[in-house]
Amino acid sequence: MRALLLALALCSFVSSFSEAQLVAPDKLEFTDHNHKVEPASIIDGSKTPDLIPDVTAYRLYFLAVAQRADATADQQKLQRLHIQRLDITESETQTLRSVLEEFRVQYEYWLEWYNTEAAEALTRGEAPNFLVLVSERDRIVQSTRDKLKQLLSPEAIGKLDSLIKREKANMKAAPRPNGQGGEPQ
Amino acid sequence: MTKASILLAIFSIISHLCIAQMNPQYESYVTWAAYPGENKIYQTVIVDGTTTGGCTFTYVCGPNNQQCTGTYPWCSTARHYARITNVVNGVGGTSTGPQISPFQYMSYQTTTVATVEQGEEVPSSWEGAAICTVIGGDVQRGRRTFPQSRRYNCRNSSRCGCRCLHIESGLHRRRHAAL
Repeated sequence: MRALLLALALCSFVSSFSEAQLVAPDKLEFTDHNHKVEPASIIDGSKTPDLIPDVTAYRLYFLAVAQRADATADQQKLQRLHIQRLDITESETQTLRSVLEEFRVQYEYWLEWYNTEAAEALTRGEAPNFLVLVSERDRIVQSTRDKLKQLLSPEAIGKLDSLIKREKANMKAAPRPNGQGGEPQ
Repeated sequence: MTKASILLAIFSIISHLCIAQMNPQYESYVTWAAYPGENKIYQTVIVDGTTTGGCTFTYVCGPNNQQCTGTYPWCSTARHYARITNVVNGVGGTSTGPQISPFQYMSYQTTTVATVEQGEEVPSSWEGAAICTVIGGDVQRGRRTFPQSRRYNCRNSSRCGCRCLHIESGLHRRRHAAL
């Protein structure tokens, strides 16, 4: 029994090391799942805001401000309060609200699509293709930014960009597996 | 010796499981809004993200370095969910999002509204976390807490680097300058 347990322990140790050597370097980041390395693995925007990618910052800001078409009066009011911080015209406020409403719809469709794809991949015993799925998410954010650039004045865009960059101080993000998350954009 | 062997085996197996190919990819964000005319502060906390990786792994299973595929037995029962603590001046609390597969994507947010008198400083705390559970129990090793939880005394805000929320009379942006 004792020998069996020792053999089991040794086997498990050896297999752990073997697996660690086999996986790709980016996969080794799974150790940041543990608390012991967590502080170093998370990008803290209050300390290094430039390391929060713009696409991440815009996404989080859009999620905080965007409302659905059927938003309650309280939700609409909260949205207006957020937008007031930009100090833009009423016309531009309406444009921003409309574009963000579209973002909200697209994001929710994307979320449903992601989870459907992930569930199907897991059913097949495969891992979801994170990079492909997430690149689509980032494309939605970028297209929203592009649309805002077309519809808002350069001054309003400048205010929005400045605000979101300041808001990075209130964000935290994990570096992406391919390393792109740790670089400013 | 037997006990040590058992502990060693258990530890080794647990560590083997916990370092599975799972890479948390979550983001969190806290933001505020206020309307001085109503003496209210809104604090919104967001957790958004997923875990990358998979339930399978490859290993050498033969004398000629043949590769076999194995499946982590706990993986099919693993779930993750967002947990947000969002408190302003004693108002609000902790809430959780739905439990889903760790490889599915979560996007969860809460907003707390608190009444604050003009010029009054009130404490606020927030925390966005993605919790991993296996077969009904939270796995602390698998818990990812974004270190944004700040419980503090306003008087010590400069020392601990935290902020107090308050509405100043006048322009809205002045309050945010104070944040």
